[in-house]
Amino acid sequence: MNENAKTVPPNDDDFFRSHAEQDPFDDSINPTHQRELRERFLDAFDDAGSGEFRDITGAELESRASSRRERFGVLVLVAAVLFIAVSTALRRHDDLMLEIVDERPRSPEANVSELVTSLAALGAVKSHDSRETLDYAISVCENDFQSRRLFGSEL
Amino acid sequence: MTKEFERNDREIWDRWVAQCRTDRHALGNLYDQTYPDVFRYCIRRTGNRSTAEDISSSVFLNVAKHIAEFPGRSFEEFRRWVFAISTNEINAHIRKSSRRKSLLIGAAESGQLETSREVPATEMSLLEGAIMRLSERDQSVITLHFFASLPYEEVGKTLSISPGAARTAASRALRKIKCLMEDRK
Repeated sequence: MNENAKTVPPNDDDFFRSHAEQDPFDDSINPTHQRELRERFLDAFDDAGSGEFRDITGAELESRASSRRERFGVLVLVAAVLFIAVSTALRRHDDLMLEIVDERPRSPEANVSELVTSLAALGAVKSHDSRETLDYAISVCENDFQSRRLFGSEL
Repeated sequence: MTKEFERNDREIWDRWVAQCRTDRHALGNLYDQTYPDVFRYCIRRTGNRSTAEDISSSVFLNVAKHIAEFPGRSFEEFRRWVFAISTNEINAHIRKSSRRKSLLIGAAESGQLETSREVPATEMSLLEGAIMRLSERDQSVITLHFFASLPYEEVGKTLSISPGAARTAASRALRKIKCLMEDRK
């Protein structure tokens, strides 16, 4: 005879049920408590204002939905205004930064280029790229740098 | 015939659930239908009739207050919702009185629970004591499945765990109960 055959473990579920069947536990309902609690339960339902849901008509539901839509519209408008304000502020900030950049000391080449353009505008020179113009411009520019070094940028 | 009757019954209960947020009468019918199971669940978990009545009261007053927020549509969902509230109330009560738990275990094991009938309390006392030694979740699983007759699917949904987890928890809890009972013999 196989020894293991004797020791088949019982099913836990069955084990529990076999005990539960001989249950001496008194869990009978107390009808008085059940009845009293029923009254309190329904009174609490009335007090909780659940009754207000009873009389909601279609028109009221529509009006609630409409007011929700209005609130959403206002929200979108406020968001748009905020967006415009922020983007304007950012643009101003960028312009300011550009101005600051413009005020930084420029390179000699930039000064020469600007000078030549100014001279051409005044008719002092005919062409920006003529050799004489450039030589003249460079000499003026060098003088200008010299002056700046000697007397500061006010000159 | 019986199945047809059950199906009709179920349809009526579902209709009550559909109306219970606005209809006092429908809510009253749902109360009549669920009170016995909730009370039995409470008394199984607490081992004390007056505590079970207090907790049942608290459960149903909470149900009444929050019925407008109940999201379900079927009777199963309503029952599950009420059992979830019951589980929270019972666990909160037990946590508040942890000393009470040890007294309950002792009382259960010596067959002195006031709810025990005049039946020789040998293995049943050990069983009640062993159940009370389980964790809150395992107690809930065992009590909901074996004493409130909820299938594991419903137990899982009530306790926000998967049906498989409920089944596994029950299986482990049963083995633990068995060991505890054998140790005490």
